[in-house]
Amino acid sequence: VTDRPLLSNPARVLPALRLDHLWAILAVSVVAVLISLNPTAPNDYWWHLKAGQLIAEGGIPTTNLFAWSLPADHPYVYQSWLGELLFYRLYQLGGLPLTIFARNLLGAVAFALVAVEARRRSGSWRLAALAVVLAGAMTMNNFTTRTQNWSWIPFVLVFSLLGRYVDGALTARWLVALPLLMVFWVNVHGGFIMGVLVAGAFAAGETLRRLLRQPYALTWRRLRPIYLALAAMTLAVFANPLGLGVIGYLRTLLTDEASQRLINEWQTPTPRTLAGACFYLSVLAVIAAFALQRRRPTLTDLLLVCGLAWQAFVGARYVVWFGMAAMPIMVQSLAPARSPLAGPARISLRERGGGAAANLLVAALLLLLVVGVQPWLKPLLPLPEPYRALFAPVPGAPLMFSSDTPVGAVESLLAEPCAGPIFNAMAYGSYMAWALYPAAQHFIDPRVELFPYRQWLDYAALDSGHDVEALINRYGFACVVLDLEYQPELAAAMAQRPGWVRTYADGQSEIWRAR
Amino acid sequence: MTAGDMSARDQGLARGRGLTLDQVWIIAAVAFVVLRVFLTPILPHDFWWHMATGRVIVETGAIPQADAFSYTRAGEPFYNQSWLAQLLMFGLFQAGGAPLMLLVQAVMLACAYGLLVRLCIIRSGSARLSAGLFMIATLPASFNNWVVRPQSYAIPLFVASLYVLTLWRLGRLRGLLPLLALPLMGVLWVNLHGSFVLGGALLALTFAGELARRVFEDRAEARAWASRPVGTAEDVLARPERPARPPLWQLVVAGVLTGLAWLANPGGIAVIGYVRNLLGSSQVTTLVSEWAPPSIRDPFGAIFFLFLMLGIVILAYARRPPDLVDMLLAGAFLWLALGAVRNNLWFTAVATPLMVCQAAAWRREDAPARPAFQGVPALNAAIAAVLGLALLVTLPWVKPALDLPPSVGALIDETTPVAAVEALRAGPERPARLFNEMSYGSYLIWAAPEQKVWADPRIELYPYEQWRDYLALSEGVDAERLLDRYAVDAMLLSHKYQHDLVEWARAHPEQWELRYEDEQAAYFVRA
Repeated sequence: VTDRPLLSNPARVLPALRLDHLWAILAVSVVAVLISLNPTAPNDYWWHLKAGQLIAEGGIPTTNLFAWSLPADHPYVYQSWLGELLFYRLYQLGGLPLTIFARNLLGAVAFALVAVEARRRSGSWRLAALAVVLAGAMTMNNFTTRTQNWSWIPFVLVFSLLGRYVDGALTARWLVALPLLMVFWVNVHGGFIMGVLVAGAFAAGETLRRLLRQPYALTWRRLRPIYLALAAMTLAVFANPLGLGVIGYLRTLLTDEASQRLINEWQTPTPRTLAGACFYLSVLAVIAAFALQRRRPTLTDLLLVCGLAWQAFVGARYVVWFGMAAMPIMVQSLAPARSPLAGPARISLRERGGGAAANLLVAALLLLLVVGVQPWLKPLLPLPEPYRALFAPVPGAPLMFSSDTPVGAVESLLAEPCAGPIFNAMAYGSYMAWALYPAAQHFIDPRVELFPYRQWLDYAALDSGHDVEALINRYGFACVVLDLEYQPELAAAMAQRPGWVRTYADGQSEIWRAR
Repeated sequence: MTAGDMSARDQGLARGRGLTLDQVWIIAAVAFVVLRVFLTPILPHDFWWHMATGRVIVETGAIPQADAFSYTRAGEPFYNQSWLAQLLMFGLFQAGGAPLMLLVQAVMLACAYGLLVRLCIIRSGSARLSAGLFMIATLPASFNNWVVRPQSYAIPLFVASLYVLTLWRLGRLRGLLPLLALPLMGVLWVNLHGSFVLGGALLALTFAGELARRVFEDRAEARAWASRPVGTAEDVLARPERPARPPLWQLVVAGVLTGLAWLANPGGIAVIGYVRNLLGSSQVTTLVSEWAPPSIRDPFGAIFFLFLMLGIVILAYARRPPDLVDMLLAGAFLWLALGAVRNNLWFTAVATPLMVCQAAAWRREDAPARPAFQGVPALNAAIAAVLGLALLVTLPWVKPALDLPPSVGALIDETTPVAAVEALRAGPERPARLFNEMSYGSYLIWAAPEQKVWADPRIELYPYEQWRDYLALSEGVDAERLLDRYAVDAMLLSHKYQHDLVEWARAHPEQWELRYEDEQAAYFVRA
């Protein structure tokens, strides 16, 4: 469907930038602003950045390095080496703000691609806007800066390219891009497996449609490029430093007891959080859209929606993939059947507002808004104090990192090194890897699969202020660096322990040292 | 054509030629409900303390208003909403013990789910589809909630309310009179279980859905009439009559009466506050697994999500749009189910008629209607007889003789600490401050009422801090300090749920003397 009226007597000439477009631009801008406003938690940022630095200086490390609780040569797989290296190169180029800007840009482009795909499927920019808003709302807990950011665009591209090929909008040669994408993806983040799974769903769904002789099913000749692309993507997975070993790494990651049991984002989403509620509302919306459909989803669509929903039910960290693929499919069901003749005329009838100039002005304002919240400009804005309080005063990076980044505590440790092993809050371990290593090592950090389950249980006990004396004695801690927000019971227990003195406190963190 | 109009096309319930295959399907559906109940031993958690409360009501002639079973919360106010169910449970147990309890449970659920299958048949016109979908989807997604406790008495009331409301809006029940069953059931429900508010939710959602449907249908009809091609006089004059619809005021009256019926309980309006407090209680929603959202890692959670997926597929490929009221009910109860595992039960009940109705619409409407194969009467009778025999041999009075594994053959679940409590009672001196596993608290309240407990499944009675300490203690974390803090002088522990604490106590024989142990429980006394 072109935007040029096909009727001989159109209602009016449409401006290049229409009100319809503004809806989608507004939605993408809202999500882009949400991403940009989101504080980056220390958990999966700093240690990746440190790994990037090590890779840049001496190749990909293969061992623990940062934590004293395991031998320094304990094996550890830095699967996201390229993602880490890219972040570090950006850091070298433009400091911490550029890495945060990269996250913002990757998110904005990914959701813009979601809008384009939703528009292609539904024929409506307004429905595309709905898809973007819902996808963005359910993903809001995944907007932190980390190597997963590099997976966003490859995922939407794989989904979109295959969808376009199946709909006849692209020729088979476009599918060559898929294995190339995979070569990049497999080295930047563990989410690469999603590419193979999505391609597999397309291959399976379209084959079923062929076998069931459904209307508009692809011919066997047109199915062949999908099979070839899937095979090439699978082979491309092995183009990484681990080779075949990357599969073993994935298996370890997905079956790791501590991750599966103790880490929130690996748990089934709960409707008691805002992001979880948005996710389940979107599931309800998908059900309603399919039930009250104006266009029936294909078998491939159903496979994708059900498969990605199942994965999202497995762990909240997978909700992002459901949002990016299922929302365009959902709005496709809400859209009226396509009619090449009626489309432009209907758009023309709906077009209201001040015309091209006014629309351009609104788009420019939205762009200004998105630019205004980028890392270099955000501190200049008159943002409310409660929002500013969400951030830690990281030197050179104001209003970027969440308040649980232990900048002051680590400075104190640098100024007055600890006389022995340090216990630390998990998220702090990430920042300590960046700011303290190799001068000192920490007890634990967010590389969850690295540490034994028993150590995590001990950490959880200490977190709750239980067995403090026995555990301190067992591990021989000389310093305890705790997060008051997440470990108030431990703070209370430390205050009652004789022989320990608090040497640092800043409202978020405390450092206790053995006398 | 509405779903309710799909009456006899392929119903196949032929009469007068012996048992048909359709009837065998229905019998099988109901029989599996009964079999599931017969083969599930009574769990201790929400059984014994309700029974004990029923006993107190009988003995004192009053509903207890404060805790009299624990020493940690002794005398604290406790709202005892399910008093009628507790009385019934105690009365049944007195009359026939655990076997009678199981039989009544089976009959209640068979009636409830039989009514649900009947509703599905009315909606879809297909007995086989209704019974089949019920058995492969609804049954597995529901039965983890079929525990012998007051909630079970609410299930028939819920399904009956759904049945009455559905038939009323389909026009199969006419007038206000059938709707008056709702306030009558409300009186019973508000004294049986806290889920009574769901009856009101069914009413309100039906009203909202019907109202919305009428608005949409009227608008669509007006649009269609305005844009009709006009050629003859008949085109102008022959505006089709609106379909007969049951008047909505009847629902309003039924709703008001049901709301008033809720006041017919010992606490009056306070019962609403009780439900609100229960739903908002942080210890209930964060500590009790059945109040937690379903997790795909739990087998029943996975079944629930599979049920949801099946619903998505059925709705996506149905050849007609679903009924708006059905969708509204399913959506609202799905939201409830996503919030807490215990609500799966209600969701599956409202979703099943919708799914069956839409699955029936997979068939092309212009497909030739052929009478369904009804099997050989003798063979059908044989299948029914086998099912009947299975029910007979699994009767609670018969199955103990079959030497089945305890997980299906026992009447009382094997995790109930019967022998351990006997040992405790037989001991030379009784502990004053016993720490106990939570469900053991329920059994202790019943079997050793003089022995006050540390905690029991009345989750909302105990403060959040106490439950956190309970969890830490059960994992053997900081055990010494916590046991000292509560001045515990004995422990009745579960090997299954408190393995770490049992091991800790074993490792400290100088402090804790093992007085009794079996496969399930261990009883330690401070040395």
